[in-house]
Amino acid sequence: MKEAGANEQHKSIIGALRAAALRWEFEQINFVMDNCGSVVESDFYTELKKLDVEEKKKDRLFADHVTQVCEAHNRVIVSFLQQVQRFVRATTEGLRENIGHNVDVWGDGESNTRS
Amino acid sequence: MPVWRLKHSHINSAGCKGMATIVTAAHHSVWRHLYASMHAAQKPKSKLKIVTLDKEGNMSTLWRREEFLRICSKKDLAEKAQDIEGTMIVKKSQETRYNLDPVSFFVNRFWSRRPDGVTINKALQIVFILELK
Repeated sequence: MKEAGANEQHKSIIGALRAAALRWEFEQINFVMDNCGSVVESDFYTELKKLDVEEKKKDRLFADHVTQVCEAHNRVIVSFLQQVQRFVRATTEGLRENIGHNVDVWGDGESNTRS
Repeated sequence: MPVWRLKHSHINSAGCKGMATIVTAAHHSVWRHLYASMHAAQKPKSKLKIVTLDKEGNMSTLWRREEFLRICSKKDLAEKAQDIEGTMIVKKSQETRYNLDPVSFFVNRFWSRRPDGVTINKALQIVFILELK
């Protein structure tokens, strides 16, 4: 789904370039991060190969990238929880400090009807 | 007591007003690191050049560079882009500009597009448009 969104985002760039420069090749390379911070190893390596990254350096690069993605994901979630916490405090006059009981965060595959 | 029922995809989206700044900053941070790492890990004899896009970088600034102008002219690219942009959705926030002058709107929208990264291999005549999603 994210891959399709990325392709749609640059559809006009790739399409216009292909139409305007017939002797050249144009391809979009997407580095996709899952919403929960995961990265598909095989996809990542395939993209690195296209970009002439040295074989012996790819594992280190992947490990560093996953670390970066997880840390970024953590910053996003912490920011979200802080915002929710501020809102809860403002609306309940500090009745409940632990927002963990108030927030359901679902994965995209899960049903909206869960009770 | 309010209960939030939100999806991960929403929280992680710059489309969520409350999260836009932090999500965008997180994206840029991951991308800067990955871009620099790939640059440093390239094969020494690689003919592929990773082009750095600065903060103001977009398709318009890219097509001021000699190496990209050699691929095709700005005029040719704008003509082709206009056809494709015309088939794509005009967002509600863009309607005023679109209604003013649809042709200029499509061309300007194309030139303001900003891929996360671009690589060019002049020897093999290949351009990669890079996106972190």
